[in-house]
Amino acid sequence: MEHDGDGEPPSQQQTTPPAIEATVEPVSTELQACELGRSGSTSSMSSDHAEGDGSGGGTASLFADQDEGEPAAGSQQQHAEAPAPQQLATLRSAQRAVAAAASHQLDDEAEPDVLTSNPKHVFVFSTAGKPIYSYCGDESRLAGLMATAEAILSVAHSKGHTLKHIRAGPHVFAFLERPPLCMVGVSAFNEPPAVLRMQLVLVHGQIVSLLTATALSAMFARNSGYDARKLLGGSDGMLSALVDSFTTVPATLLGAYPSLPMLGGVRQALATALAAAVKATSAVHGLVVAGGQVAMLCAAPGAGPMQQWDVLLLLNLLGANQSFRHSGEAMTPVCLPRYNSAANLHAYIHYVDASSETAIVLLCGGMPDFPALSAARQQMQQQLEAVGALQAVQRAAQDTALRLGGREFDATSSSGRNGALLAVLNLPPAAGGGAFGATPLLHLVYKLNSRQQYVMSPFSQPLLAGGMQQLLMVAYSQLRASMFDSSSAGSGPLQRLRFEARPQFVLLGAVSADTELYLAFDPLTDKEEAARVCSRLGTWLGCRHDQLFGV
Amino acid sequence: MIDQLVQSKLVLLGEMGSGKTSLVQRFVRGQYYENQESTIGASFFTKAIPEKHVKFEIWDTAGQERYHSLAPMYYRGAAAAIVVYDVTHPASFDRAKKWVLELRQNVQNPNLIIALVGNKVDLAEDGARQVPEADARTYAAETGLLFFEASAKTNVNVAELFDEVADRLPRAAAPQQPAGGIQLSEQPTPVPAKSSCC
Ligand SMILES: Nc1nc2c(ncn2[C@@H]2O[C@H](COP(=O)(O)OP(=O)(O)OP(=O)(O)O)[C@@H](O)[C@H]2O)c(=O)[nH]1
Ligand SMILES: [Mg+2]
Repeated sequence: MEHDGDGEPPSQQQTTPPAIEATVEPVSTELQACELGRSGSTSSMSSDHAEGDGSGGGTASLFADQDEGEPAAGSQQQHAEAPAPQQLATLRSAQRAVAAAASHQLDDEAEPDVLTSNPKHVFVFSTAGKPIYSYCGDESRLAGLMATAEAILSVAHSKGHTLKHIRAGPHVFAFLERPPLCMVGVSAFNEPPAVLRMQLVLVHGQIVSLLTATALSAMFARNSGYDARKLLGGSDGMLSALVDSFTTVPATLLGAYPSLPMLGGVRQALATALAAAVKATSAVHGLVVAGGQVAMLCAAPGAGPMQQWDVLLLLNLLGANQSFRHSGEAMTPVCLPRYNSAANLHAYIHYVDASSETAIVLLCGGMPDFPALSAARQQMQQQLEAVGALQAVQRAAQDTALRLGGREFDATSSSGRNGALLAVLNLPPAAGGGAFGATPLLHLVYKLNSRQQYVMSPFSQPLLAGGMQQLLMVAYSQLRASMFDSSSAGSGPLQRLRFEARPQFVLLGAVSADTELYLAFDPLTDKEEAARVCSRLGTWLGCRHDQLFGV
Repeated sequence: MIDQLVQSKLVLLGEMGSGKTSLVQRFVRGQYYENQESTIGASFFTKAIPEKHVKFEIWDTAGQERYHSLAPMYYRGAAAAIVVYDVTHPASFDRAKKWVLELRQNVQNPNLIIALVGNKVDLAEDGARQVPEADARTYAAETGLLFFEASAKTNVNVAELFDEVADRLPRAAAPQQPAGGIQLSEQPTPVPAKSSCC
């Protein structure tokens, strides 16, 4: 496990990492007020947005600066207490340095292309400054940007701050330092900084999943200038698939993994067969995954449930690597950072069906006994096929397929997915179901906190238009961020119901003790209508947890 | 019929991208993919050659550096190893020599069959060849390896390679591994940190 706790997602339900944790670092600072023009002129800092911490009193208002133009019903703009004077001075000097560094960067003729060519960037470099991964463009083109990020970080360090994010013009830069690696995320989508940092935690987790944290540290301890690209060689696609998923599925922003909605009896059959396979092979975890979602997850007695973050990394590993699908059986070491970041597990992977991406996965500690794994899987498969359970899984997956690794995700093909339990078309009319035009409801996302799982309806018109899904995911993350107070981890939402009218759609979020429901409606929908659908749909979903979620 | 087949464990080793998976896919399924995805970990295939009374249990390992330390799990107990390089890529030939050395040092079985395969020979005609056939052949002869130049793409020497390996298997006394058996080592799970990084 990682110990520093800085920005880590709390292990269970609360998923938005607090941006400021006074307990961890001497002084943690958010620098949000650096407005940098592309011209290079640094605009003024508004110090009332600059929040010092250190009082430990939970003064942070992470989202206070966001979406000022957004129509926000019942919006709760918080205002931080003023930082102590000498702290403010340090903060300002750090800000000035950051602004200078960043404006210098943006002035550079070549570099702005890098930033403007894509609204989203993620890059990883070693603390010694070696580029390791870049989401867009090759690492060498980003050398200047990385150098700037480093400079920014070192300025912050020299002032005793740990920098979490800054705003520069239309971009938010988020930083995550996990020596020997440093992750930087840049977004022009106005994603909540805490969500951006959570994305970086996952990117880091995926790198750890390939190498183990222990091996990673050892590598750089021997040679701080070590070129880690060699060990990560060929994994760029996998990391990029993960980054793609950040704005195509709500997993990361919710802190939950996708569950495959299925009729109840099927799940029961899976549970029994999977538990037997796990027992027979001394696996620590077993999974049946399909279409990028989890149909069933089973932990060995005493192993503890698999954490959602580990599940997401595993789903991405499976989804992003075609090679598993085409080999009969595969084995690979994989480190699940939440389970144990120091060691590998061995994953036995068998794709039952490549087109629906239905696979059986068994995770073992220690040396894997391949013959036993293979035999247990075969028996399980036969059992499940005999009762039609695997076929049912495949059908359900084909109806809803949402690949976590979204590069190959073809939105247009999803128009044919009408069989899905949660397709808006298939919902009862009283709960907002119906064809586009007949119902104001466009899309739903439903999370069950206690199980760290979510389900969502497949995208249908008009959300199939280019860029709409991305827009919707970012909108959900902003909506959710507005509802939760990130500075008081675990204490629940600030708002239980939130309505937001946007040009492309109307959003409604409804949070209860154990569930979160986020809905998108057509832009003409008013508050009352949205609330009516939300309440009926909430009731309908609430009665169907067995079908929607695994145990 | 089936029970007369002798099960033989075979492992493919070699640099990333040299064409291990393509050779296996060609042999096992008669298929070739232009965009074969890089292997993660290792993949398991079986293929019988009834005429030779052999059922190969094939571990196709990943060439990526970070999986290097896991290789012993797959070559321990193997009856045969196919070490693949890319004839257009001299570094892959050097890597192949290192694999041969490692096999010689770590595998107890004195009857281990090692075949050296220069893959992508279809590209040699275009003048892309970087590893002269004579060099590789000489090295193979000196080291006691079977040697083939092959192409998974144009299906040159693939069947011949596996047939030859099958012929060299010790007749009655084929190693009796359980299906796809991975020999358990006493060592703790190897971590990639062991691989060299210079
Ligand atoms: N021209 C040509 N290309 C080939 C041949 N064999 C494989 N390739 C191509 O070389 C690339 C790598 O092939 P793979 O079979 O994936 O190589 P590998 O050794 O399994 O690689 P790793 O799994 O990463 O270790 C693919 O794009 C193949 O299409 C061949 O005989 N001729
Ligand atoms: Mg391969």
